Amino acid sequence: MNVKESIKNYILSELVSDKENSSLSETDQLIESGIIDSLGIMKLIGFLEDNLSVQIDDMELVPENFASIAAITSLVEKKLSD
Amino acid sequence: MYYLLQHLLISSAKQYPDKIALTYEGVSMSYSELDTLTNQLAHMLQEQGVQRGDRVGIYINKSIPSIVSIYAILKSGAVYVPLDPQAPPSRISYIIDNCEIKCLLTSTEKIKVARIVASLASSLQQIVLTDNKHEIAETSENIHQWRSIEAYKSDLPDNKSISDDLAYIIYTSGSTGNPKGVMISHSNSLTFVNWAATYLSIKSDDVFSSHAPLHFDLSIFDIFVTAKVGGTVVLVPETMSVFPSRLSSWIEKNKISVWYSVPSILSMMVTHGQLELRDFSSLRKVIFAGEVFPVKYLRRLMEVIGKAEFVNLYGPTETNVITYHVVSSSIPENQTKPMPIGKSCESMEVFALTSSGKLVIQPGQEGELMARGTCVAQGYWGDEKKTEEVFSDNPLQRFFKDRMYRTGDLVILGEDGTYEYKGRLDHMFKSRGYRIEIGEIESVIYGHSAIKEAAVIAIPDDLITNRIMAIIVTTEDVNLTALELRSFCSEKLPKYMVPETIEFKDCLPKTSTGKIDKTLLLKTATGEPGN
Repeated sequence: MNVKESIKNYILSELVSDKENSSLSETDQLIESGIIDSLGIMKLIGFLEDNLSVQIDDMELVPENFASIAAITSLVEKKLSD
Repeated sequence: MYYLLQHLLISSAKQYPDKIALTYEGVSMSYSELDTLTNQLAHMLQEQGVQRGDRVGIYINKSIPSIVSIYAILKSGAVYVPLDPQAPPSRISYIIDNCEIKCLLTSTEKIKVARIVASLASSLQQIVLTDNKHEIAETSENIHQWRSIEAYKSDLPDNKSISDDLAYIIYTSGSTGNPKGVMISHSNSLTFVNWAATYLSIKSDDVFSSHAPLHFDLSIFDIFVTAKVGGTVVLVPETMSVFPSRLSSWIEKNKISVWYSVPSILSMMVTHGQLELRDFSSLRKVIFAGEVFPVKYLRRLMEVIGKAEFVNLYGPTETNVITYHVVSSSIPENQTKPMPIGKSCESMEVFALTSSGKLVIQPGQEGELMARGTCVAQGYWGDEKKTEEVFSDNPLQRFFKDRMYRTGDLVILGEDGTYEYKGRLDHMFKSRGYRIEIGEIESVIYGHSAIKEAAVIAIPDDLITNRIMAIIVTTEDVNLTALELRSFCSEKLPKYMVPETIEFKDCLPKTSTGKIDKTLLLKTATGEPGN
């Protein structure tokens, strides 16, 4: 499974709780829609660090990096290639 | 004379007309502007038929219009009912019908959902928009546009309210499957507001943060204590809490001097907020309430913001705040025990009764905390039975009827006369400061046709107090997924009540009396020995 699929699957299985969002596109807004809230972001960071072996710095914890599945994927792929 | 909550605004508008009362995302409103606009909206509401004592819903994301709505409803003589903007329409419509809301204030961005709510709620007759931000494609005579507001008179409308009239109703989780409305009068609320302004030494040059949503009673402090002293309240944008570093930067940028929130937000700022990069020289009070603050995070926060005073407030929605504890300047390195909830606020009284009804007087003794005073709510809307269960006569007063509230919280009396929180006597728990009844979640889950057995347990958590887990046995030959069940729950429950973890099992363990063994389930879930 690639990085994007893995992130999408995690969000769908752990953070989405309603039918409307059960078919997320990679550009759907995760923060404004409330899919990622203050608890969700901590769970997501835990997942990225434990399963995708990246360390998210506090300064990277900004809306631009977590706005959508595409944004999160881009952040993770950039960190993996560094 | 102040005897209604809106008098706080009216008085400050006279004393500080040009001072900033309210700021949200760079837009501000002075006391004079807020006073005038809320008079106009109150006239509009009265023209729409809103009368003294009517319940008017507020279904708006936290913003300047949401605060305008509060004061306008009060000035019209009505009772405001803050509705969770993130809650599912079925829950909102339940509340609307439960307290017979005829008029709903909402925003153009929420109008789509508001229409769904209106189609579900039979009580609702009209919707009033509180902004012009988005164009509304189709309107009807039951939807009132904001643009007509300037045509209304700007003087204070007639209002015969008295201090015993209800000011607001806040809905909290109910054990029998539906939320229950806590009725708070002007007098109840002012008891807390007056205490807080005086005993927490709040000043007119203070800049308050407002973090809690309006349907959470922490917001009462932000809105009304600020108005009482003529201070400025800066509303925290809702998505800001997702990013602790942005939030800490926001506190610095807005020169917040009084912060009030649940501890979990502060804990997240400690762990991910880059606090060491911020200048907190304006921050003089950090006040927290709603749940236990893990000492390790509190200690670290106090190290970073050394200049501020830290205060732990305690109280259920039924009393607002009833006890407080000012944290001493340093917490010993080896202390892990949480801060006590403290002693009674000066204008209220708390005491503890043992299970046999005796007054707790010896340090170390346990009992249920009781509260008395003008802070005690009027009861639950339309639920006399539940009201009588917990709002009862003080058994220690033999000569006259003396009303008190049984908190359901188990406390221990400390050596210094302060109380320490020990837990609940029922099945309620806290998560992110929200009160949650296990029975309400289980009742919703059992509403799914594929459920044979269900148990909801609260898993203790360092950061958010508790996480919710559901253990499910489905009926035979049914393939139900966690996502499907979460989706089902989220149609009826707010997000903070939807189980985070769902586990499917073939059967649930039982006690010798045949009940589901939740103690064993909790031990299994937390990996404790004995399972």
